[in-house]
Amino acid sequence: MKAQSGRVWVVLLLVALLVPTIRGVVYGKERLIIFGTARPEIPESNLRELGKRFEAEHPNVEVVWRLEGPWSELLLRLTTARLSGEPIDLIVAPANQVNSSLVRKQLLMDLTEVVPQGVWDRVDPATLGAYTIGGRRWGVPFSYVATAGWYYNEDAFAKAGVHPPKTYDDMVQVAKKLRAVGYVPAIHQGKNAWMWPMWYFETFAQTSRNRSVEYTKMNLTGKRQFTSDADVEALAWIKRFFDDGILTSASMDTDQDAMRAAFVSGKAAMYYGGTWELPWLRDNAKGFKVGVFKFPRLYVDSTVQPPGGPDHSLAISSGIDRSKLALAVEFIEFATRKDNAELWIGPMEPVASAIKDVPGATGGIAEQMRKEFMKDTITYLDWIWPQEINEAMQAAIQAVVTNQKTPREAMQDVQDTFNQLVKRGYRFDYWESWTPADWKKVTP
Amino acid sequence: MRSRRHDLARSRRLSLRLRQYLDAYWMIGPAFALYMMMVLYPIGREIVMSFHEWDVFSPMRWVGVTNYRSALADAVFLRGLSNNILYALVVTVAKNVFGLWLAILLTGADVKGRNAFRTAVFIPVTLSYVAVGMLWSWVFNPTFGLLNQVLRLFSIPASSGVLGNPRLSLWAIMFVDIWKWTGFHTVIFVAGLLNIPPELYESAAIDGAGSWQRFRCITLPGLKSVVEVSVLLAMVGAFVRNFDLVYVMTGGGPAHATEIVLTWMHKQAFQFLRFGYAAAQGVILFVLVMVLSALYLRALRRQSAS
Repeated sequence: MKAQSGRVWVVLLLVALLVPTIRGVVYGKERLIIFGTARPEIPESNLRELGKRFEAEHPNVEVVWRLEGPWSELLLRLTTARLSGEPIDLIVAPANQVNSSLVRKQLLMDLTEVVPQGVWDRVDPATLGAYTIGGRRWGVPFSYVATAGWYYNEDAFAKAGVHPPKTYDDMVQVAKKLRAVGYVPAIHQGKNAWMWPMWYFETFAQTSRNRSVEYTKMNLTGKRQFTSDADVEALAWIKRFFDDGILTSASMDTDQDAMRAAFVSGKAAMYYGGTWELPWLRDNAKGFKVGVFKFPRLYVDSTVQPPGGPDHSLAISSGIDRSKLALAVEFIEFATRKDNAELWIGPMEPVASAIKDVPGATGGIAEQMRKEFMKDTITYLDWIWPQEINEAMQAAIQAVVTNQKTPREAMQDVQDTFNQLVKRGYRFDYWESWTPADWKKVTP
Repeated sequence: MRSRRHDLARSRRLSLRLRQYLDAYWMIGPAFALYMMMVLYPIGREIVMSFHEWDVFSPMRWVGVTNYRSALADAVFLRGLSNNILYALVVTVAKNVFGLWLAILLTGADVKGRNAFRTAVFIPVTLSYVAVGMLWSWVFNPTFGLLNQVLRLFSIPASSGVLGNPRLSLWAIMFVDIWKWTGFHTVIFVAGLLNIPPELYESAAIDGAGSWQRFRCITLPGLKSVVEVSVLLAMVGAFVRNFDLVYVMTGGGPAHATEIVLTWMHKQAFQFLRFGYAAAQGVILFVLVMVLSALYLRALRRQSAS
């Protein structure tokens, strides 16, 4: 028995020793690993084609796509990859995590001088801001440029005899009439906590009289407080959507699938969402015509500013094997060429594209959103504030709309979270405190 | 000569025993190594980590008991802990009471299709937490859900959302947990009930004992050891095996109403990269469950001794 067990151990040891060799034989080619979250809007065949074209130009390279899971779990997957020593070369980096985590944690390489000027010239300059931190560029924008609005069922509106509302009071009236003809006026994916801050971006833009980005930066540098009147008022406005019957508590129990199902099945007449809804609506809203209108105006003297921006970018992992850096840069150059970028961005039905040569979708609501919404679109505030504040904000909004806290109490919780962060060493301009050794980690 | 032979025999016995032990150690070696690697090492590492600040990407920094102090001052963690305790209490009692009740029904002499019922009761146990969580999320959905369809059938006003209501959401998750695991406890109790000699019930019936008396004086004492194990399993499970269900059904929301220690730990570790702080919360939960289990087992031992 002992001898038999001994043999098993020897075999196991041999296998363990041979695995790297066997892998080397199978993967004789150099592997370029592209890490990111799942992109269901891009057909698998497009990804394969993109990889094949690059491999045709680089016969000794194999492109490996590691695009899995929702965007909210990117950091989790990066963490586990780092813990397990999994190599990562390129990262399809969402803008919200570039500032809040990826650059802060020195996970991305500073691309300012690494990527040739010719590549930067291919990018819409308006989209570069989302990936510029401390005056350095950390990602090459490579996606649609998002904005947001209310999608509505035109047939339902016609049946109720209403038109897309422009002001909040109009919206209350529209909701009443829709309910009278049997529709749930509006549905929201309130169960997905991450969607609630989108409402706050809209209301705060107006309660701050269109200074929300500036005020947020002031809050994060301690020059202002999250408990200031405009911030509290923004939260109170979200609650009014429930109090005035535009939304019902059913929205608190609804996720994205259920929200979309309620809309396309004709139960709910409208919902609020980003331009990422467009490909899905195109494929699924068949029995009626879909229209779109801007978030209602809350004050006579405020301008509606939908939140949005270039969703994701191509970035290089700071942990990349430096011998593969040139290859990674070549991939970025290759991917941002018009024909190749179309394979990636085209299926997203972009209202606008971060790559200048890739045209935005024409006709229908995409074109309407590009013409009417894009000019006023401002950066999502969760691209500016840290994850902890985002989480606190989600809980604050949920607490207010479910009557657990007043808007002021809820915003005090957000301020308390911020104070704790500062105690633990948070600073808005974190890059200013980086040492030369820190900079060395993120430069070639 | 005799003494030398005696020494020789003794040394042979010793060597035989040593060989036996060595064989035993050789056999359990791989399992023990795995246990060390998968259980003891992570526990030890978590305890060490809880005294550090660590974000995975930078070196660990010693912070002493700061993480423990922060946890005990963290309102969301304390809410999670109190939710955990309520959860464990309700779920442990309910699973065992319903499990025992179903077991008694299913071992009754006059149950037709007994095996089919036993299988039906056990099916939820075999389903994954994620599937169960998604299934019940859709049942509770106020727009499409089965719950509202059934309520409407009986002309009861439809619910406007269970999981989105902070007063109901934790109870809804507990209900699903009870639904999933009652079958497991039923099977344990069925096995226990089948071990009680039927003659005891027959003679009690002849002596005129009613069903309650038979239950109190024969069934419960006969099931004592089974109940002990069942309660311990349910209690420990309710503290440390509820993450998946809460994560899938509510993610700890709305506004932390269903937050439990594990979901808050997960957020701290994987959203905010505060691994040391998350580890401290894990250690607090570990100690709590260990103390409760020890107290429970001690109480049982005392009861047995008396």
